[in-house]
Order: sequence, then C-alpha cells, then structure tokens
Amino acid sequence: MSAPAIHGVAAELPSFSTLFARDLGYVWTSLRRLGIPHRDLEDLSHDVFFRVYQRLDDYDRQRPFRPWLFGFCFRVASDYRRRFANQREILGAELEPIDPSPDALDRLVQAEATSLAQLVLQSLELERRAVFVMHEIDGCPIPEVAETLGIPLNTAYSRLRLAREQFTDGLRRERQRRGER
Amino acid sequence: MTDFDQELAQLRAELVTPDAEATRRVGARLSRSIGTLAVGNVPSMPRALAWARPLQLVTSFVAGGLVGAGLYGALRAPKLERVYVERPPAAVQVPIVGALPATRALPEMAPSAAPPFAIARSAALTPTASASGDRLASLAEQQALLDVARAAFAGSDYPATLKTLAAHSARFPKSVLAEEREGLQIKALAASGRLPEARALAARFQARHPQSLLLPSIKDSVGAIP
Repeated sequence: MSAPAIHGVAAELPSFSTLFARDLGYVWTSLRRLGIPHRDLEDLSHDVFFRVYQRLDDYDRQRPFRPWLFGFCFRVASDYRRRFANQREILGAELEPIDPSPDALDRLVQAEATSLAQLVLQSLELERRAVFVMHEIDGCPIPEVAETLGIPLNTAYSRLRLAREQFTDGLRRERQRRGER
Repeated sequence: MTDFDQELAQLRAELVTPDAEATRRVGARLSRSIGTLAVGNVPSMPRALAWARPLQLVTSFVAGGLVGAGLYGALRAPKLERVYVERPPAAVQVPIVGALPATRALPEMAPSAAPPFAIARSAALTPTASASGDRLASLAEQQALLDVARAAFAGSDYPATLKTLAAHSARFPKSVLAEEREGLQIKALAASGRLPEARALAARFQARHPQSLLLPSIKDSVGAIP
C-alpha cells in the first residue's frame, strides 16, 4: 500500500480503518475548534466517520483529503448546534435538564477553553469560524475553503476578513477585561 | 510576531486528541454502525463505471431501503439501539460485465460485537475481517504507546518521552502515526535543549510532510527550521 496522502493527491486511498486511525485526532481537534463540547466529541467523531464512510466513493482523489474531511466536521457541527437549540423538544426535561438560554452551548464551550485564543475562537460565528480555522490554522487556501464549504469565493474571503476582525477585537477586549494590557 | 500571529500559533499547537480508550469506543461504535447498515458485500465501482452507480443505489435500496431510515435513526440516537431489523444477508449483485477491481469487504458481525471493524475501501486492498481486525488492534496499540509518550511530554519528562518514542519507532517502524511520532520527538528534543538535533529532524520532517498539520507547532518549538 502506498503511503497515505493527507494533503496531497491520494492516488490510492488507504483502507477505512487506516483513515480512521490516522485522522481521528484531526477530526477530534477540528470538532473542538468548531465549538463542540468535550462530552459530545466521541458521538460526533463517530458521526463524521460514518458520513465519510457513506460518501467515500464521492471523494475526488485529485483534491487534498483533509479539507474534504473538514467539510464533514463542519456539517456535523452545524447539525449539532441546530439540534442543541431544539434539545428540550428531543430529550425532555426529566431526562436531561439543560440550561434554557439560547447561548448555553457557547457558554459551555467557552468555559472549557484552555487558552485565551481558544476562548476568542469560540466566540466567532460558526460559518466564519470554519473559514478561519481552515485557512488560518490548517493552512488551506481560500479557493479550497470555498469549495469545501460550498460557498462562493467572495463569501469565503468576506467571512475570513470578518473573522479576523472579530478575532482581533475579541483578543483585545478579553485582555482589557482581564487587565492584561 | 504580532499578537494575532502569536495567538494563531497557540491555536495551532492546541491539538486535542482522544485517548486510547475513547479511540477504541468510537471505533467499536463505528464498526457496529457500518456493519449494521451494510447490505451484503456490495462491490464499489471504479470511476470508469460511474454510469452504473444509480443501478447500484437502486438495488441497495430495494434490499435494505425499507429499514434504512429507521435504522439510521436508531444509529443516531443511542437510546434506541435496541431496535433491530432483520435483513437478508445475501449480497446484492450488480450486473456489470467484467471483473471489478475495487471491492468493499464489509464485516459480518452482530450489532453487539466488539471491535475491530473491518472495512477495506482501497482498490488494492481486500483484507479479511480478521486481518483488518489485527490491523486495528495494532493501530490501537500504536496509539496507546504514543499516548504514553504524550503524557510524559505533558509532564515535562522529556527523557521518558524520547525513550517511549524510540520504542515506538523500533516496534512500529512504518506506523501510520509516524508523522505524529516524529513531531513529538522534535518537540521533546527542543524542549530538552537539544536544539541542533531538533532542527535537523525538523528540516527532514518539513521535507517529508510539507503540508503537515503539526508543522506550525514544530516551527514554534525549534524557532526556525534550517
């Protein structure tokens, strides 16, 4: 078997179990960056790989693998946030009492942040955050980001610009609040 | 380096990885999900035969479609895992003339079966369930040993980190986790003051993995890669 290609062209895709072992850490980290609380990372990592398995035949081997994988992380995270908003209807208060306020998930995730950067990252809107994470953290070119997320190129650039501004402002405000500088 | 860049570097370095037990749990659950959803041994198709894909979908739908939605719902909601559905084990044959080089061997296991999961999607790979199972067990072992090294690194015990990584390298020289192993080795060398060695390895790492997710944090740890 040839060496697995993560960012480059994968002429031959490794077995699914190898993909799972190789990329679970990436999926885990990406979901975390997309605002999934620790308690649900296992469930959602499962969901990501389950969807990847179902769509693996659609993977274009001329494109890098990890941006494609990130697309699944983004959609799963996005679905999760929608479900979380309706959680009271799904689970019922007697099974799992939850904080009814609309920003409960954000506050839960921010409480788990281990650094200032993570805290500010979690304050970005999900769509902007996805562009920011893919480009600024994973180093993915913006055209690839736009293609992966299914958005126009200009929208991707616009979201990146807004995310950068929001991130920078967030850092400044949080530092001021903490009296750091 | 600006504040913005510094915080970005921090974000890049903050990799959250599952421990070995979480990896095993996700793998086991995935194994059940995929094994339950599969409809016999359906050959996957090469792109040249993409015209036949709708036919494959239709036959798959006929064989398992009536239960698909309900089963998928059960998989998505763990509390409903007791919902089982009988499904004929017969393989769905797609009437394509000629041999199909790409096959997908799906595991035959009960919904409650423990890992490993055995799925081969590669055109060149058609391992048996036990072979894939062995591979997954080995991967879990590789991951576990790497976790030991990570824990030692987190505790600033760099000699133990390097010793564990050396053991990992000797035992699994062609590990799929070699990229992570090398990254951790470079960081441990740098943290223990062995910067020339760390930089030399970082240069080699950069050449071998120019797009690696770990590269930014490695650069941060060694200062500059020659």
